[in-house]
Amino acid sequence: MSFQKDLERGVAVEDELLRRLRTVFPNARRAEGLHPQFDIEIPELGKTVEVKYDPMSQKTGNIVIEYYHNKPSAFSVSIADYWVIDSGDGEVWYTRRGILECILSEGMEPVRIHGPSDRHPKWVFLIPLVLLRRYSNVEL
Amino acid sequence: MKPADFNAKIKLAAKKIYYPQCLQYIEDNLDPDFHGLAKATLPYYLPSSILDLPSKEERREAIDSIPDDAVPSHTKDIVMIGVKLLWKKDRSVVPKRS
Repeated sequence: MSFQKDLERGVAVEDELLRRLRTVFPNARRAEGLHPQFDIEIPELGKTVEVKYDPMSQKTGNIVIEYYHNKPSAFSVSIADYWVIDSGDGEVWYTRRGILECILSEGMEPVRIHGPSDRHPKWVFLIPLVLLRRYSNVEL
Repeated sequence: MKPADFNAKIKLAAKKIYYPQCLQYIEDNLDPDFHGLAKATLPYYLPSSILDLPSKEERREAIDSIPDDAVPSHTKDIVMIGVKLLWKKDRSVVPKRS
């Protein structure tokens, strides 16, 4: 799947999540403008959500948690209470703390990746999907 | 710089435990082009170094050496939560005496 297709699918995943959230939380809304700190806000709960679509994890077995892309990014700057990670075969909810616990407890080492469409390399944690799922402990 | 070499440098920086000394190590030992990345990576290595300190007071002092406005913005938060998480994990694996 091309980068553009992945991007479109990522937006669709976000739209679908927002639609489902609105059935329970009608005021749920997408972050306005370029907002690196979260993607969706749920005013009824006072909570925010980061949505991540990572279909490559089906091939690699790893979820990419980015924290630096020429400047602090993604996990370094997100204030989202929940991270919803869709690996292409379903979504799993995490707290930010759960992901951090996985990185620290499992002794994850940062790695550098350079995507074909990236001007600068990204620094990320490549977390095995099966491992990360053990740290999903979200209760809405 | 290879990622393994970079990670090794950040581990050594984290061994300085107190944030100003960690930053000093980074400035003294890494090319300025890597300073931003190094500061963003340090919070993931610092908790285990701080946990090596023998007393709660010393661990608190080390955490408090991180300014509230450290960059990236979650630096202190990540380190504080990290120390607590690793401390709990360490306690949970201590074998109980019969």
